[in-house]
Amino acid sequence: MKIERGWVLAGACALGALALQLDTRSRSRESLLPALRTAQRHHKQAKRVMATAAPVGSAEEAEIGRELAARFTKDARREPALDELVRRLGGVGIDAKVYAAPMVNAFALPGGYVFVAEGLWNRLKDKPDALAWVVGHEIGHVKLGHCTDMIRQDAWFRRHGLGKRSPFTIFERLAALSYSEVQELESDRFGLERMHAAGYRLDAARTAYHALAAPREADHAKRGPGELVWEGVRDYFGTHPRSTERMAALESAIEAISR
Amino acid sequence: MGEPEELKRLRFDLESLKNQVARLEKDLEHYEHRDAPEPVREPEPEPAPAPKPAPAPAGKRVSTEAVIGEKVLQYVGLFLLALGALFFVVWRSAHSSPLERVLGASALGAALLYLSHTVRSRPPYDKHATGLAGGGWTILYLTAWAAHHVPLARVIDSPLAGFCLVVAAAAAMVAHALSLDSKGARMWTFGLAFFVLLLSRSSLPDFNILLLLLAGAVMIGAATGHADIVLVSLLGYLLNYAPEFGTGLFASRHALSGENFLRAFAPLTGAYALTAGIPFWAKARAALASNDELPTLDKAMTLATVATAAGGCLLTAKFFPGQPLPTAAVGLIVGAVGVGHRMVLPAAGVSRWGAYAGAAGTALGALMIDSKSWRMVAWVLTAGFWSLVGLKTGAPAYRQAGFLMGLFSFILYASAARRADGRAAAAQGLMLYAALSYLSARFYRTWVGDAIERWEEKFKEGWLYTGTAALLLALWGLLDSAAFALAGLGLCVVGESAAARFGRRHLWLQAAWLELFFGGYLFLIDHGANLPLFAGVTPLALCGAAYLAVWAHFYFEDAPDAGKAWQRRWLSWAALAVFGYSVYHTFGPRARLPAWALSTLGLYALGRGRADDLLKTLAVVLAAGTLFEGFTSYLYAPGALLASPGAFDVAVYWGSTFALLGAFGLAARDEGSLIDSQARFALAALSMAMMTFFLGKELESYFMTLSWGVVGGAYLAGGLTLERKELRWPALALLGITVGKAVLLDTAHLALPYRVLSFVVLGGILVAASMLYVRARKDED
Repeated sequence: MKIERGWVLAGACALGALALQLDTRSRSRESLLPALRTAQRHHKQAKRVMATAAPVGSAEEAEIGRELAARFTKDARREPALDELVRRLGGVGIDAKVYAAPMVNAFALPGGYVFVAEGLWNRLKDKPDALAWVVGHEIGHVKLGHCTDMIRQDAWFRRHGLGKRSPFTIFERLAALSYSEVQELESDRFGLERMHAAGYRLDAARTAYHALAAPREADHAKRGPGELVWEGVRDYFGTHPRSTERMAALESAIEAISR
Repeated sequence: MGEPEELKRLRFDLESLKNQVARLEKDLEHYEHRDAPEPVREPEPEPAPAPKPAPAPAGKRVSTEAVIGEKVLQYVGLFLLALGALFFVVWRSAHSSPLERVLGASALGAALLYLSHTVRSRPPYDKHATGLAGGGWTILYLTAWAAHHVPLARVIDSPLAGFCLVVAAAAAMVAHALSLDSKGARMWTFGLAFFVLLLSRSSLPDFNILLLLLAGAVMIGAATGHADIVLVSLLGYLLNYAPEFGTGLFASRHALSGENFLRAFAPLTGAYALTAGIPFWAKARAALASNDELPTLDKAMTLATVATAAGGCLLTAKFFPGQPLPTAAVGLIVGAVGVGHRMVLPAAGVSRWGAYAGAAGTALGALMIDSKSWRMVAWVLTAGFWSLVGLKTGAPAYRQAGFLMGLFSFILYASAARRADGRAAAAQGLMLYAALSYLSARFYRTWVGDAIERWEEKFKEGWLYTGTAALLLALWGLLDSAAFALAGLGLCVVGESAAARFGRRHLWLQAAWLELFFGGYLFLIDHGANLPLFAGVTPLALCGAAYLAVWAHFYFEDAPDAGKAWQRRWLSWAALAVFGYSVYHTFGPRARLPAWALSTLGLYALGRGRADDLLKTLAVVLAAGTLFEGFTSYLYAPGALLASPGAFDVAVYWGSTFALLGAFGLAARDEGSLIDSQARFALAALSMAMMTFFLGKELESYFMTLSWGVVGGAYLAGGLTLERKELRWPALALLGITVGKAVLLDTAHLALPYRVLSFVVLGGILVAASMLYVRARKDED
């Protein structure tokens, strides 16, 4: 009996659908995020091409970074444990300090300045593996050129003798120091790579992620239903790496690097 | 009016018209003389005097005196008389007994009746005869009613006697109205009879007496052939019914017992049986369904249908809360009677309302089901049932009702699917609806054919599309997004197979849209799907591969005719996009390039073997995409995020690069169309770019420059040797970039020995290339 090819194909599709449905690991949902991320990655790389044409020198970056970091260094202190962490992560040229602020966060500035806020430090100082991912993430922003990308405009002004007359105040520059979603995902991966190379436990990244996400989730619980609905819609069509996407990317990277 | 009088009137009108014409001509002359620049003229003699006009008819040239004399005095007089009568009544009411009042009113009514009788034979006053009779009977009837129900006129204490008196008066009034052969009189008297009963409801021994009266009215209507009697009687009956059972029930005055339900339901269905049953009674149908009476009868039946459906459903919902069957039964009965109407009286519109009311009743019943899944199932079964009834009986309204209900099932689904636990259940209902829709689409063509209404012309394929939409939505509700994509691809195959088998245009269209939809949908599979299932294969990759298999199945299935060619073309482009996207998300920056490059090679080889320009074009576009991707995602990818290349990675990468060169060798044999030339160029450029990207990414800066120079030189040499401009042009471009990079970037940070070495090697390559170039050109010359 001859079986038509179409029926075989349709049957295979149906079986595949059944298998995917039964396999809980392959849970997925509809979202514009993957397609948007693809476009954003290419946009970022296009900017990197521009960076090749108009590079920022290391001396320039260090000067701008020093100016920006001056605002924080007076309230920051050096911690031996943090220095050791940076050394193990291969952070050559990274100047990491604990910044006296209650927030649960960390940030990097051009020129290799990394600040871990006191709030986060207190939570993770006894968990060096988890802290390693956070610090590795911030080192990633420096090493992957994210910081440099942000100050390219500022550097151009300085190079043309307009440094003092730059329309950007320090405050404005600091306000602009936010990384794109694609850059955040890249730095997450970078942090994992460095953790793995330094011999830290990769699964500690989950602990660190939850420590960072906990205040946001607490804040989330305070929001009204209207805000939550709006966030749901925005999440569906949005570009910000929401927790689901970021966690999934983290899991995927942990699995890939572990292999 | 006799004939001489008629002639006399016509002559009079003719004279009047002549006079008017003469006046108009005179006015016209006057205006012509005034507007034109007239020379001085001799005064013309006066026109001969027109014949003396006859007295103007009333309303045309009426003197003020006549108005006062004939109208004003009359109206003022009548008004004063009415005032006098009113004052007399007021005065007498304080000084008269109830009996006197009843007798007085009766006398007035009788007088009006007598006057009516008198003027009926005396034209032109005969026109007022019916109105006077109506007035007389109104007074008499109201008096009969007041004799028991109004304290000021109560002369009868027994409710039964009072009711009998009212009925007797009504009977006399109705009998007289029937004898007058006036539609107005009939409607007034029948309406008044039932309206007054509304006021005397408290004295009714049993409400079913009204049903008997309605039956009598229907029989009278059938006997006399006047449908207006049925209409107005039904209206009056329903006006009595509404406060008796409607407000009473919903004010919870009655206990929710079966007995009370029957007390309320029986009069309603009784009236419905009496009215809507007329077409099934041959004698009544013959009398009331004539061309003249049918519209009125139609209105009556429609009123009965709508009232019964609405009232019946409200009653069942009230008496049997949470029990859908009684309500659905009401809808089914009304719908079934509507079908009967359609068969017995096709010209009547009541069948349409039977369809709507029946569908609404059953829909209400379905909505009363608590379970979400069963509610959805009941809803779609109902929608399908009415659709099939409409298809089988050829009644468009039932088709319309079923189709509309089907559309509402999407809203029902949206409501049920808001919660995750309800989505799967609601999806099952949609599955069922999809099956019923496909059946309907089938029966539509086999049972109805071209006998459709105007609205259906645009929607006659509606069942096909709504069925597929329901199926899609159901699958979406049941499955996760990756599983949904895969199931949808299976659906595409089935849809297209069906189109090929039945050859219908809409099946083809639907299949094409499905294929494009699922192609696009793959772009929405989220990040969660990128977790590998096995051996690095993600759900997205699996779905992408399935899409390609579907594309290949269709593409190579048969030689498409002109009608299907566009579909194959768009599907091919969609497949290319899906493939590229799946590879992009499945592999890292380094690995995706060989995947795309080898696919370029495969597509070109396939296109070459089948002499298919579309496949070759796809190959060229994929090559261009690979070049772009290599430049943006690989060459500029953060090196820190790239794992060290293993032997396998290197082998695959370079294997694909040399395979492209091999393909170029094949393409060089074809000296055909433009697309062949473009393909040769694309293959050559891609192979060179792949080498360049790898060397550029994996080597340090100055070695990179050197290696680029070597690759560019080799390609240039090859191009010159083989006399292939497709090799020479990319080579020259690469050499240009290499020189620029060396001069502008590399040498700035290079130690002096390396700078010297770099310049020497690069210069040597360029000189050698130049010599080769000159030599080659000389040979060509």
